Amino acid sequence: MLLTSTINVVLFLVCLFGLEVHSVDRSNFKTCEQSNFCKRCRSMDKNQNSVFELKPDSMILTEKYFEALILNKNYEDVSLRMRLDGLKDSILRLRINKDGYQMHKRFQPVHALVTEPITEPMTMARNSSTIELELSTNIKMYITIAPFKLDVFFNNELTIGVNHDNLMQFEHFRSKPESIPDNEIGSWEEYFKEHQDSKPRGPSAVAMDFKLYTSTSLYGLPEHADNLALKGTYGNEPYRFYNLDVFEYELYNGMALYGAVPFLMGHGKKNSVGVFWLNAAETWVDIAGVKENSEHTSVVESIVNLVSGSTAEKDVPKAHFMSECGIIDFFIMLGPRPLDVTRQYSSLTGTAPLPPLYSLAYHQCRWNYNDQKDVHTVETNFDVYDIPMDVMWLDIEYTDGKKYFTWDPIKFSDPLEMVNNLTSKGRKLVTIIDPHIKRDTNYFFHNDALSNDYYVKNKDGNVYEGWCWPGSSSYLDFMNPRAIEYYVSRYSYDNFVGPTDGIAIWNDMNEPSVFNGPEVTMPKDCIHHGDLEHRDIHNIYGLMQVLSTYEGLLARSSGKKRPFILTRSHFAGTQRFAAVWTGDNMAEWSHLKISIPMCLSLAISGISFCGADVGGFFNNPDKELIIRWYQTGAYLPFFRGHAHIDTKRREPWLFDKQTTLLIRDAIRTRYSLLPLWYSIFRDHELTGFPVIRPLFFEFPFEEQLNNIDSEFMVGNILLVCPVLEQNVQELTCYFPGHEEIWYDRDTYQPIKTNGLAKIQAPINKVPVYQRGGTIVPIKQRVRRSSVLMRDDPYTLIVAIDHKGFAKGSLYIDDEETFEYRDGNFAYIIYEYINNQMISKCLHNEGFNTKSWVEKVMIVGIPSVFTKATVHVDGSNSFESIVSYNTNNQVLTIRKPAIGIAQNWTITLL
Amino acid sequence: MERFYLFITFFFCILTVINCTNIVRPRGIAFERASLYIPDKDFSCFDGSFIIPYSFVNDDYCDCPDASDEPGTSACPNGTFHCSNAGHKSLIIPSSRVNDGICDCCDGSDEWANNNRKGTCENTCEELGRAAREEEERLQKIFMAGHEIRAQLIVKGKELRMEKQNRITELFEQQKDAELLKNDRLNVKEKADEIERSALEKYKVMHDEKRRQEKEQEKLEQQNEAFEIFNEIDTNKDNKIDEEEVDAYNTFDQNKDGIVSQDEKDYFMENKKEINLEDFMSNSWDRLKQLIFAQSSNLKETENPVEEDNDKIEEVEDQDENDDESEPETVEDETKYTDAEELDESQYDEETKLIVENAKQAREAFEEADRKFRDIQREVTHLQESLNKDFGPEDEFAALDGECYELSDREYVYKLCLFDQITQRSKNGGSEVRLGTWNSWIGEPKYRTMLYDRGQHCWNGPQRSTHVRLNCGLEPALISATEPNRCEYAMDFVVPAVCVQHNERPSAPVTEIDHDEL
Repeated sequence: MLLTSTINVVLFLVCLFGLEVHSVDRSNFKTCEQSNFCKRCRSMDKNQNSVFELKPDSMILTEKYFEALILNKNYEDVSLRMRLDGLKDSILRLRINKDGYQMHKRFQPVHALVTEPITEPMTMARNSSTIELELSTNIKMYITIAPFKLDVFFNNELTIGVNHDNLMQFEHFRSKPESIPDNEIGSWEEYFKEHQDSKPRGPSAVAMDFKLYTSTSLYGLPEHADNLALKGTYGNEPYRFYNLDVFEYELYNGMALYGAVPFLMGHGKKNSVGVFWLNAAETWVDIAGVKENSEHTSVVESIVNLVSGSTAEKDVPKAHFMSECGIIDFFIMLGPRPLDVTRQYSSLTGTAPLPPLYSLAYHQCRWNYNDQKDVHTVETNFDVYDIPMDVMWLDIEYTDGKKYFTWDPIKFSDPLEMVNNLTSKGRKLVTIIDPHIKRDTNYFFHNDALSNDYYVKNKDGNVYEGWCWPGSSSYLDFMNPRAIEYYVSRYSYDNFVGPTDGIAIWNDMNEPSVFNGPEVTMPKDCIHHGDLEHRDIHNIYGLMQVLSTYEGLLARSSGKKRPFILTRSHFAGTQRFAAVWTGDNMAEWSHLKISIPMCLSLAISGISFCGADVGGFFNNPDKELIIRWYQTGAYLPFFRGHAHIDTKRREPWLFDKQTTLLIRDAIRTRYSLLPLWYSIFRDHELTGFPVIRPLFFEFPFEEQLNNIDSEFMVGNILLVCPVLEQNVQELTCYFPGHEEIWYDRDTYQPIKTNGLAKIQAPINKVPVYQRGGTIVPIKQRVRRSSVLMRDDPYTLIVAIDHKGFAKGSLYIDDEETFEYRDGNFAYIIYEYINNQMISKCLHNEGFNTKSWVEKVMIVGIPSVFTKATVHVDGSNSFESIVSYNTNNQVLTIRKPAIGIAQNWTITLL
Repeated sequence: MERFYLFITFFFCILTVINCTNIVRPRGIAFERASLYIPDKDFSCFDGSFIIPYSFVNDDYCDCPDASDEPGTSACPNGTFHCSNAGHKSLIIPSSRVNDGICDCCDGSDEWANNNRKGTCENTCEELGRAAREEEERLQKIFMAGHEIRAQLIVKGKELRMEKQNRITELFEQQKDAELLKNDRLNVKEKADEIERSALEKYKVMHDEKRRQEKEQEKLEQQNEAFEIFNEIDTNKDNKIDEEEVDAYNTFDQNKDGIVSQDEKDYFMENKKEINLEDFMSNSWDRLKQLIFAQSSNLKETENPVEEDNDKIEEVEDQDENDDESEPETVEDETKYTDAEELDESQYDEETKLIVENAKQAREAFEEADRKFRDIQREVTHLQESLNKDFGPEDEFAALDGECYELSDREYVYKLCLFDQITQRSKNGGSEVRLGTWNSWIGEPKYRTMLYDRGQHCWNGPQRSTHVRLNCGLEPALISATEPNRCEYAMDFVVPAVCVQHNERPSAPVTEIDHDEL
């Protein structure tokens, strides 16, 4: 409230002084009150007993699941079928659907799931009022028969309660009454602005409430431009999931944005849990019972707030999920630690496949590089200024009149030549491909889609027409397998560009964005393949596009090369196909700041490969902002500079010399750390652990960390405390842990006191710390592009903990193909213990690397060693020179010159 | 395996250290700097930070913070590599480009570790050198020729400047004379005006008297008419008009329903029962007059409606024209001529006619002198503005002042008028858009980039502006026009006036950065 009024005042002042400022036009988007099903579900009374109860004698326990019928006391002839699965790795799944005949199909977004989850047997015991199910010794469930409730116990403690607030809802399809009572009009027809939603199928909402008894804070539910820790929504709008193209989005609220991942995490000292609500329809989530947190918190404020505890005493954190249609289908993950929860969630929706290395390097984008000469000039300038860059990007203007899969015949007359120029330096090109198709009878794609019936239809069964970049457009129906097949074929070398794997793809506007549609998207009564309404599938439309693109890119190289795709719209499971960026942000400090909680929320919800447009998409950043943004963006997984067509050019050399040098430093540091990023991404693929993490993920017992979202960790190794505000020379960072040592990455000076500390941060300082006890592999020879660094030697930075111990790992492969899945990779683990550095290559079959170890730096040890003996397995020992820097207590072992994938031991003497 | 590979690497190092003239030169070092590396002595980093055994030089490990120990490898992140490129120009590249698989040096020396592998860098220096020399020669020729033209341009520029200055001096003289003449004629004119005014005085009095009489006459006629009508209505001749008489007089039937209604009566009679002549003359007549007028014009309308319409349209058009044309002129006309014009010249006596004619001539003579004076003034201002424009240190651009050059691309025709303005015209029609008006020279080196700004506003954006970069060429020509930023244009223009130094390559910022770091 305070924020809104402040904004109003600011807006008023701005209008007064005639400055140009933009902000979202809220009236373009629905409130819960304006979305009839949300209004219906939200107005349910938690003090009124639920109308749903189990039908006696309907319970069955099979080897795989528990099943029962649920009756609705208000409708005697309606029964629901409930099925509860116990799954591997402490996960439960509960589904409720109508039993028997339904007038319409209820959509289940199974594309979000990586596979059909594997069930585990349970045991059952029952009495007259309760059923007890046991999945494992520490997981028990009690189902109350009337009214229906579910209690989930973890380690004999009530952890999650389902329908404890009696907010369950399941509206069965019904015939439209001849005369509709006034209070039901909105269930059968709804108006928003000039748009009518005809709702021919009537009401079919589903809802459920969850109480997270052992949690103190709630997280997840991306994508919202809000803090990491979720806020109570009482008296406010619920968090909304409805993928929308929001022009100049506002910060710190629950308005819907481009993506929807209905995954909620609860965290407390006792344990951490997750709830995954698998539904692709418009969904609203009310949150209550969490400690309130003010909006623009710094580290200090977030801790102060927590201690002062502006909390509503014994409140239990809870969430109320409300969806417009579909079935009730949710998963409960029982952790018990944050990393476990994300792992469990990833076992359902999948992890990001190891990206090609170039996609972790620096990307240069702009709407638009004018022509192929422009692309060449910009690329060449990166070399002139000796700034590494891997990928040049082309926004919509490269096409022939916004017809995707075509090229402007004059400005981009020889795309293959352009790509080859880039690949000759190890670089790539990304081109945009949006899902709207220009309605142009001279456009092959449109003609093919029209004649083969690949388009989404309007409510009357004709091809739907909307307005987007090309003007009048229609939208490919990705729910149609034949349309997907066609889409896949468009990406083949024969059909697009030619024989090069130097092109990756950017899928934008895939919410889908429809300029003249309700809420800038497609009407809900549009019809998709399989007699589905758009209302059923809306939030998964973008995922279906990137899934198709992924298949297309895979097919293009006969399954050899790893595709790279960037998407704006996303859903649970998108991580299996594409990276995500936070959309059309602005060149403002507040937007730099929000990029961290936005990407952290996505990361803990399975989508690690996230970044924000460096510099801000709209408006012009000044040099201080762009420097700080590069310094921060270099530590987010997806690292791309991008700008709106109306902004000034802002390539790194277009400011003053200092700015160029500082941006260059930031990008070069990213390149030197690519071996670490790559290894962490590999780890993510295997475990589902988020690549970037909130501090509480690594230190789950420190309650002070629960609200910190201006700092984060890369893997479990780097602590990043970036400067996110203007005119900062000094900032306060929180150094978590007990007896943890944090080493400044620039100076190697240790910070040994845990808690808050003041850090000097002039414009050239990026406060990043290596955790004591870790070993970071880097490449000090930064070249023009990552590919050119493939064979380069490694430096190992060993940062010891308070016991004098450190460990780490390194993953290497060919950086671009799927051969690693046939075992062609090297995986090496490092350990520093008792003055010995040990390298064990656990796997290097079928993969040869020319890389070697050029330097080992041991940080934080005393000056007692004079030399080092290097022993390589299967050969003689030799000595290596060591040097010691007393200023920062760093011992450097000079040029052991051992192959990186060898087993060796270095002993300090 | 790895050790073996490194051994090979070493071996290559040693081989290349020795070259045919037996002067030892580490890889990646320019001949002139070879003496800084002495094989039988320990090596001291240039920045003095460390002293290392000579065997550490170019051993693919960075010992010196200033990179001086690794001129030939990629080991130091901040180092540089020198390729001799025999047959072509030597080149300094960042160390990170050594052995990265891309041939940066035409002699292939940067890819020494890869030269035994596939994709070897061939030595292309001979070929490239020849091409470069030919290109150099070609540029040299252009430069030489251009330089000569430039010399001519300078001469011409100086001449132009001289001419302008001379012309200004000349004009100053003329201006003096013109001013004198103008002032003389002003005196004459004012006197003639005065004489004219007094000569016309009596005619004016006569004229006024005539007007007064005319007005009186008019009034009388009106009264007569009113009296006639009164009598017409007053059928019982009691010198009063009563209701019955009004009923009988059909002009009062405004709505033409054949009856004079009470309303219509009341309107005319002002709710009175009867009206006497006095009332009729002072009040009622005015209202009745309108009715009579309306009646007669209604008749006209029904007779000839089409013509009427046409008239109306013309009237509207006329009005439009009047709006467009300068109104002040008509005002001026009024003030000048009201008095004289209303007078009937034919009534003047011979003497007066002469006086009026004299005054007219005096006015015309003055106006002519005044115009001449102002023309001179204008020319002086123009010349001074032109002299104040920066046409280069030697006036080499002066001859191009106002010259226009066009360039046509797929969508637009661009027109650059030097020291004046730049416009863009769409080939699909539409009006010309101004991309900027001459402002000044900008940037370094001076006289290489022109700024034209304050162009037309972009929709929802800034005013358009254009940077014009100049390069040496024999014929002035506009060779490129782009829009790198929205509404900020960039053009390339070649012109002999800048054929000063032919080697105008952009300085290499890479080395600048490296210097900084050293």
